[in-house]
Amino acid sequence: MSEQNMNTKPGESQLALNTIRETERNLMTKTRGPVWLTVLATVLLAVILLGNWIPEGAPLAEPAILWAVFAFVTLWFLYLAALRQKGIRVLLIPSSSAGRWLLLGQLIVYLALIKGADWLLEQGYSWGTWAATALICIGFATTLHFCPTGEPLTRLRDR
Amino acid sequence: MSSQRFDEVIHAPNRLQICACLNSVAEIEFQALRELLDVSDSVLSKHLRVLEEAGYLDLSKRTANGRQRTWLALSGSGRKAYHAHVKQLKKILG
Repeated sequence: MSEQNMNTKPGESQLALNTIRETERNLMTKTRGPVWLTVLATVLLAVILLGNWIPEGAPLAEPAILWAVFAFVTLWFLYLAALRQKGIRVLLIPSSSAGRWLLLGQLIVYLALIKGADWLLEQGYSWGTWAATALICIGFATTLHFCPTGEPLTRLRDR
Repeated sequence: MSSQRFDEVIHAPNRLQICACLNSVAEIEFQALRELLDVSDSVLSKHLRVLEEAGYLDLSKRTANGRQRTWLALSGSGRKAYHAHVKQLKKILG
């Protein structure tokens, strides 16, 4: 079977990969939440991250962070419930290696940013916390909007 | 790392779309898949049967709100076969 199908023309392969990408795009459109949801989730994430660096003893800091975490988790569950109502259940861990690398890469970058901000704060530079928060939130919002299922679009060629 | 292998079962356009969709989710309900692919019930059922016979599809029927719904997911071997097929397609492109 594989011998015969090695004669598949590049044009046919291109068409097949385009079909795959088109389907993935349609699925992303269906699973993507509304813009306000992305904005709200990102703002809550920003509150949680910045709350991590607020000096101890600051009034209202702990309740604000706790409420932000609660709201963030609740939003996540509501989003999953809405998707299930639409007839879709998403994977928690992506199935493709590209999706897994995207997730792992983001986690590594986010942790590095947080650690970097911690170090800068110890040196007396508070701007690091704002920069780290901004970069993490941009990454988070971008992923939420362009890869709502956690799976990036299939590339037409492997690197 | 998945190998590369052209798969005739998956390559048919409708089945390729079905697999592309199922690959990105844990599972999807029959009607949702039908709307996404914009095909009729009979066309979708026919292609799902082919995938199921090849061992690439897991089906489960569950009742929710008094309605029975059919949920579809790629099986382990289905995911492997799909990934291998996509790799082969990319290899052909060079």
